[in-house]
Amino acid sequence: MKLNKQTTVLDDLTAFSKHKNEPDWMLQLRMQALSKIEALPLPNIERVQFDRWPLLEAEQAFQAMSADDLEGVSFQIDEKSEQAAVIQFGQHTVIEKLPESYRQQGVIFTDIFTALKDYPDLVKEAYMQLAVQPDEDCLTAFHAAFMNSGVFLYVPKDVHLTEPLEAHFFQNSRIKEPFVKHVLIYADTNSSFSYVEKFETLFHEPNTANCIIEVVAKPGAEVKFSAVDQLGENTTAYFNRRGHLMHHAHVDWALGVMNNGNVIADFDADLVEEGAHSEIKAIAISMGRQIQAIDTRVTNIGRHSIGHILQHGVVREQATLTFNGIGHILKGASGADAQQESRVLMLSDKARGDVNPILLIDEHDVTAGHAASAGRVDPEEMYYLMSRGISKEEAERLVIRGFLGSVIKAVPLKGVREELIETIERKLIE
Amino acid sequence: MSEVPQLEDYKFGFHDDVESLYTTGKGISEDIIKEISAYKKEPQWMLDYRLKAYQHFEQRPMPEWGANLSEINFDEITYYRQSSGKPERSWDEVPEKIKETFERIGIPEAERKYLAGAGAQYESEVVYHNMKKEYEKLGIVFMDTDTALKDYPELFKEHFGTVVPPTDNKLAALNAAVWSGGTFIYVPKNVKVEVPLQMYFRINDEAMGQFERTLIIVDEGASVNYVEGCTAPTFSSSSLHAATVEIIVKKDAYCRYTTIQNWSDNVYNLVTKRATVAAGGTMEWVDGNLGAKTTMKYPSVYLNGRGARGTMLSVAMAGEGQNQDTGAKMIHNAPNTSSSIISKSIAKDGGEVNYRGQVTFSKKATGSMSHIECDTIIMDEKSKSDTIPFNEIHNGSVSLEHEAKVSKISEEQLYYLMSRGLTEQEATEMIVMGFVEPFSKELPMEYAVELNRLIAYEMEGSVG
Repeated sequence: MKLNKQTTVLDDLTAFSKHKNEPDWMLQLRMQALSKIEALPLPNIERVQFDRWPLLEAEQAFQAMSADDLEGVSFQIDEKSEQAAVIQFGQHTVIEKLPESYRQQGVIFTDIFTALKDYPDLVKEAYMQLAVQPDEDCLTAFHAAFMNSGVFLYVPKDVHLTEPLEAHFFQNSRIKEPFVKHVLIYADTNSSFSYVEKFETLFHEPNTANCIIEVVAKPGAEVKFSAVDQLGENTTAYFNRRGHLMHHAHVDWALGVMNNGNVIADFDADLVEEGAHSEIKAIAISMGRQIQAIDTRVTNIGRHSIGHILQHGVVREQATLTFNGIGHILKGASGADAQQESRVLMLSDKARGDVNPILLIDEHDVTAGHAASAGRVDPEEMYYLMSRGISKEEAERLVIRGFLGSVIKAVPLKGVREELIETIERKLIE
Repeated sequence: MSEVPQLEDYKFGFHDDVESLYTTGKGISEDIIKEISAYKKEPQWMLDYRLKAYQHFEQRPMPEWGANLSEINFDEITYYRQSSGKPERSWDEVPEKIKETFERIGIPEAERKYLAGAGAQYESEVVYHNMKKEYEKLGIVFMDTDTALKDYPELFKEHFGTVVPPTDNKLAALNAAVWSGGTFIYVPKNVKVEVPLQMYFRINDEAMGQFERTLIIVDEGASVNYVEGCTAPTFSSSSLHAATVEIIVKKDAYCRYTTIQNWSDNVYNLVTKRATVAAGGTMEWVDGNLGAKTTMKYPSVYLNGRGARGTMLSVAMAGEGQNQDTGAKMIHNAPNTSSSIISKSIAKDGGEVNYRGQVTFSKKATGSMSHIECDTIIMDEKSKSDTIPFNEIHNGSVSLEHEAKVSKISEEQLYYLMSRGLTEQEATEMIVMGFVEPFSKELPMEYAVELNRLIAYEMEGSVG
């Protein structure tokens, strides 16, 4: 990172924080993280070389927002729908909509800076305190220092929401600007709701993205989390999604990793208390020359906690896809269960796929297992379809749809299922 | 509940007072390497090779992954000790004390009964080596590695160090610098030896280092079945066993290499084993790790020719204070190659048993396949286990299947067996035997019996 202008960076950071009226603790958190970036290592993602990726470019992180940014782009939502939605473009929050009934129940779904102003204590309780720590590695520190946009979602105790809350994040790549997005989801005791987020890039300027998404699930909370990531081919991205699950909390993740550029991603569920349960389902497509490496980790700390991982991926052309599945059962987590299944379908001789299913078991009264596979499309399946008069390309598409479909059908939200299928179709036609 | 076995219960933990004929004393230096080489009357190229390897050993840091090796003190180890004059061909010629040792382990008896040939290494040198006449007539060479360097200099130089270069890892560099003893086998074209050849390794003294070097060349269309065993006395200070095994399986040839490692629990067992396989050839590792304080061993197969095949079948058992960090590597470098890995691990009484593996399909491995299965039983709350397999695929036309399970002893199975009148101890033992059966059924019968006996012994007192 170019920190030779360290004082300038510090000035910019302070000015930005002031401008946003951030509470003092937030500025302190940023400054402490800034001072640690250089000394901290990169995160360890097994079998992936990314030390030369431009993930630490901080320049222009805090440039002033300009009305010109929004020229020629427009965003709409269905005014009549009763859905809660936030749409952000670059650092701008373009649309914020929260049904009155949600507001009355105490639900907060807003821009992160507004939340820092209006609900500083609530944000402070969870922001990089429980799930992700600022000093884990240089990327989390970079994030803590340079965070320049995001949302905060809070669902109070015993509140149950039936309609999903939706966030749509557009990266502004008309200009040079790091996309440092923070999503903080705070599910209070016994609340339940669904949340959907989408990441997209507009325009083609090469940029860095550093997105951290934290889900804090208090006892008995139930969260259905869905995401469709489609950042652009000129964006080098780091994603970190992490759940912090307390007593009998339940978080289900459905993640579509459909970016077009190079990506490292860390999807973690920390099952910190008894009976916590997380199901992580991910699908990924890598194509062209892109590299996508996904670390999916479930850490069983609480007794009788359950962590399941199911991930299917497709690799085309000269692309690379790495699935590291990690089931870690800590001492004391008796009765814990960690299972994972990772499968990679290779569609080209020049593609590269890695499936590394890792189990780290420190406790005996547990069940843990993994299954992994990698290989090409089953020639018999292809032959069968082609003998029915279907062209080779179409047959291949059908097989892929079936392969990814086995994960998609487990995704709880119909809208997300459709969105994923649409995205896959689009990617396969490219 | 029966008593937890004491250290003294290790059957092979006895120590014999054997005067050494020659030793370099403790520690390692260029001078000591020169001394070993001169004492062995080696050609200049081997001395140069050793010295170069030593330089690499000095520069290379200790591996930081895997087991904790920080307690190894390279200055406290004796790198060379000779206890008898030369490898004898008759047990009668072997010094009485040493012969007694091997009698107690049962080697001469086994040789008479079911082996094509047998050898025995005591500390640094091979003390006995013999092959039955009928096999010798076929042109098979089975001797200690030092004698092979003298008797077959060209064959030796052509292959030595080609599979495991001294720069491979720190312990391989150390082995290349101070190697002594080990087995050399050459099986000529189309000669098949069905009956196993066996080598037995014994460390007798405290803080001893054993660095045997094994080189096996199986020529085109030939086959060989090699078995090794090892034991050591129980001491408070640690010994180091850092062997290097190189195997060259030529076109359409077959090699099976079986190890029953039962070092005492004060031995660091850090071994580099690797085979290259040409077109149509087969390499099979059968690897049992029961003893040693710490094992780091990942036998590998480089499948370099079309249709080559590699398999690994392993059992690892870690008890109190033990860390078995083992695994396998299958590197597919040619079309239509296949590999399979079956690993069975048991951790008990605070033991740690880890599987670490690597399966790679290179761009050239079109049409290749691999099947991997790793199962672990963790017996009690003090024990733990990691499974860390890496599967790297650079070719779209391959298939790989991987499965693993970690669990405790199934209560349902236990309950079922106990309802049939078995004690908990017997039921547990039976479940464990069933768990390792895919391994034990591949062993020569005598070894399977021995393995079962060892496991039954290890399982004693594990129920409570």
